[in-house]
Amino acid sequence: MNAHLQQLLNDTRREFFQRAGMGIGGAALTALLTDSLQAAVPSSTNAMAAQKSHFPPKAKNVIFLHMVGAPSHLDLYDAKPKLQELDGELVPDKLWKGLRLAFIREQPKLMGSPFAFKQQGEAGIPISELMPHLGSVSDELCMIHSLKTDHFNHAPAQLFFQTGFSRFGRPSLGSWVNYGLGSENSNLPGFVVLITGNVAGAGNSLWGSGFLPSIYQGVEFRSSGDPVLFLSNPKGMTGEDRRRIIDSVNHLNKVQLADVGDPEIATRINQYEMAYRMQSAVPELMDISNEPKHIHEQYGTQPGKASFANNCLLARRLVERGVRFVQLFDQGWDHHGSLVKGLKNKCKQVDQPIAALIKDLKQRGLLDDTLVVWGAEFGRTPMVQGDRKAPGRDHHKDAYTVWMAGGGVKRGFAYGKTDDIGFHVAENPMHVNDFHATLLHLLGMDHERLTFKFQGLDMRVTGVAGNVVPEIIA
Amino acid sequence: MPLNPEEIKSKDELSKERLALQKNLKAREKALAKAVAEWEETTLALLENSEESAKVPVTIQKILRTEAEKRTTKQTKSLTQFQQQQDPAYADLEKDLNRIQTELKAFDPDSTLVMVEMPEPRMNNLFKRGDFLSKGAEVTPQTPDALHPLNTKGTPSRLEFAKWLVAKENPLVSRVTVNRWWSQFFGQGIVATQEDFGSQGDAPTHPELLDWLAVEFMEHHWSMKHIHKTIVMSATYQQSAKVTPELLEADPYNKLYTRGPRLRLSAESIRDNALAISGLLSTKMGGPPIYPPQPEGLWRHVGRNAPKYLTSTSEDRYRRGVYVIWRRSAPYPSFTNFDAPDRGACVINRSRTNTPLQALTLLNDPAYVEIGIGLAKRLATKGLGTELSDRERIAYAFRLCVAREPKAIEVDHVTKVFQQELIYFQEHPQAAQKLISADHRPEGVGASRMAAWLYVANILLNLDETITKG
Repeated sequence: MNAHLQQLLNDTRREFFQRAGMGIGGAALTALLTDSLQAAVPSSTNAMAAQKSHFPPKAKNVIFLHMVGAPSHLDLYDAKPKLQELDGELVPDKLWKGLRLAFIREQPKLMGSPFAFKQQGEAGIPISELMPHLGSVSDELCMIHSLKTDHFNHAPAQLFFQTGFSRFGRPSLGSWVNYGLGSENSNLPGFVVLITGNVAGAGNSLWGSGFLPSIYQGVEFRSSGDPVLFLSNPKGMTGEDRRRIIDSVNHLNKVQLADVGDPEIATRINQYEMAYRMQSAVPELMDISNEPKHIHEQYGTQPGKASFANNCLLARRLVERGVRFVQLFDQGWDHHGSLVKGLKNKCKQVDQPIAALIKDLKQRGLLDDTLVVWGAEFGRTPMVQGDRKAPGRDHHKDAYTVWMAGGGVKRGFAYGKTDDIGFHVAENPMHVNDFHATLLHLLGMDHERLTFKFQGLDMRVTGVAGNVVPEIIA
Repeated sequence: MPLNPEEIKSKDELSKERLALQKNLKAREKALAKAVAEWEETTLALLENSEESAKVPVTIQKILRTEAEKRTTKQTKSLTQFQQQQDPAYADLEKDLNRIQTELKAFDPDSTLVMVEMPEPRMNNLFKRGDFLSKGAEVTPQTPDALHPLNTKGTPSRLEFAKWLVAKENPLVSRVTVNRWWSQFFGQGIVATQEDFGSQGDAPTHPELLDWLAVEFMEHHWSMKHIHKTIVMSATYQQSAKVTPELLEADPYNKLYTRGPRLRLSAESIRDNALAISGLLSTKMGGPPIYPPQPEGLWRHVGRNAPKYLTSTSEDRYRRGVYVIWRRSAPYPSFTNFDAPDRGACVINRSRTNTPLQALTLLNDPAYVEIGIGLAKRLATKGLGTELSDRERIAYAFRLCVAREPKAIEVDHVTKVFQQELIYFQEHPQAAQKLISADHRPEGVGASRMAAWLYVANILLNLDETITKG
């Protein structure tokens, strides 16, 4: 068996008692077990217990904002005056020859950004007029202008961005992180997913655990119905009823434990207690109505409504409670046409809450420990797609922009450069594998040592590639 | 089954008839095509008459009004189809032909897939770094030289390879197979890395046992039943699973089999088991996947796909877990909560976790509430009208759930719970009615009793022992 997994399954006696003591009215059970637990006992209880990282981490938590569909880096972050000049000209032959794009088939024209850029903050980072709020926190951002991916179709690129592999079956970043570091809150899952709009093309696999134990998979907190599946009691059953039933279940399980002595039963008893606690902890977490007015104004949140803004506020509340990895997905960024209108609309939805999240985290002293990541599965072409009335841009894999903030990255910093039209990386390329390696590094993990044995291989999120990029680390 | 002479005769006759019809149909098709210009003209004229025009679909009208050269291929095709349907002679021929086809189909034998070697074997190449666009050297089928020789003349065929796999000289297939069964029974394989018997895999804990089982399997004509029986009838398997301090110290992971296995059931078995206990289980086999109840909104739009989850209403609802529909991007949640992989990866060693989401699933999943109601009905109506006491019913419930006689303290506890709940619901009939809808109240059993039994069912279906083997 994999040594790490063995260690996970291996509960020390002390930890076992700490946990066993939590829910089962203590002394009797402790007495019952004291003599029976001379050795380490196998149990799956602590698979989620907080683990030591490989080296001291810069960040403890991650909030990962994935803009599903892939927004245009050329209209948001990567200002290209030269592209502006060349607007309307055919893309040069030397760029076009042999090029494969997702949709464009005939030699296209170049398109300058219809939006103005402004140098923001002390560092003078250029940000598009579409993101005025983000501009106000630009000194917190670490821009990466030179990300490269391997795929230009949504689902494979999304999988690649989130799991390091373009097909189904690999664990997502969040599950790797939970596998490596465990969780600091025993009432909530360690990896929570919040979604606005349709689910991304690759579906649940974007937060799945692949070949890792399923305990590490992301748990979606839904904005309608039960926030966590099966959280609410059956119709007609009250919380007190549920308490009495769990008391009975645990009482009978204790009788069995005394008889059989299998520590797994003690674990089961604890899990029922935790389930009961989740039934109040999760609704309490999801209810943002008790947040003060100035917070709602800052984020643009409306209690009871599903929105990206609400999810940003929830992300802060989750991190505050020790949830290790919070993943937001927001659909609607695939602007093949009507880029001007579409991008404007989408930015309006996310700009204010993202800036608010960064400010709020900072104000609470959480930003130092929390790495905020903004990104997408790929970027978009400097070439125009569609008609002149409502132009858009095609998928582009060879160069695009993502940014990070907080959690040990340089502030007000830009890494990497693209060429004059933002098509190829001109300086300091960062491949998605490097991006993953760096993200794990910030969390105190060596991507070459975070492995899981599967089908005869020591699997890694970075496959056989990936280099940490020390230049972006503060 | 081969056809009898009479059947062969009618089949031949039908085939002849089919041929004739097909010929006539073709001829009629040609005639219609020849007359198409004239037909179009008359049909267009008919459109002037509102009553007649109502008989022509709007799309067809539009096509008719488009000049022939400007029509798309699709439009021309729909127009031809419409013309043919309008023609009584053609329609009759087509109807007859369809009938004959159906009759002929009844003579088709049951079919199965058969592998046949291609006359010219396909060329195969290495793909450099797994990329199908960069072809490497050409490769031909062969087995590793280090292993026993493959018996072949020239290029090996699939059949020869299959024979090589199960040859006496190759115990690997048998070893891997018995190891997987062992793992199903004991929770861990003799080789822990079930998918990897190579140099990177774990060494067997009991090499002689593995060898013996492998040979036993081969020597008994690969009889699965023989090996299963041998394992479950062994003293090792039949030991008590009781853990004592001494055993725990000596053998914390039971790798030495100092006690019998005690394992949580797999995701699908937990559901099957609960369905069986409640009396709802349908043992119907085969057919398309089933859609048991799951929370609304899980099968959402994923990318551009928006298939509908139409919850089964018939007995399909209660069929075994192996028939449950799998959608990789939205797997059945109560299975994934119990460590069923999402089928994105081929996982041989499932993890066996113990989580609060599992507790929530068994307590609150509407599917398990339904199963709870099923068990409540089974208990409430057990010996109805006889002298069977509620205490005896509770003992019966224990036997159903944990497959053993209950201890007195267990029955005492549940009987007390049942009586307390019954009194509460008798005093609060509305609460009982809210919990148990009218169609779930069997004759002669009131809502209050059903509600109290549902509590008992919910408790017993959630016991660790109910979802554990051993």
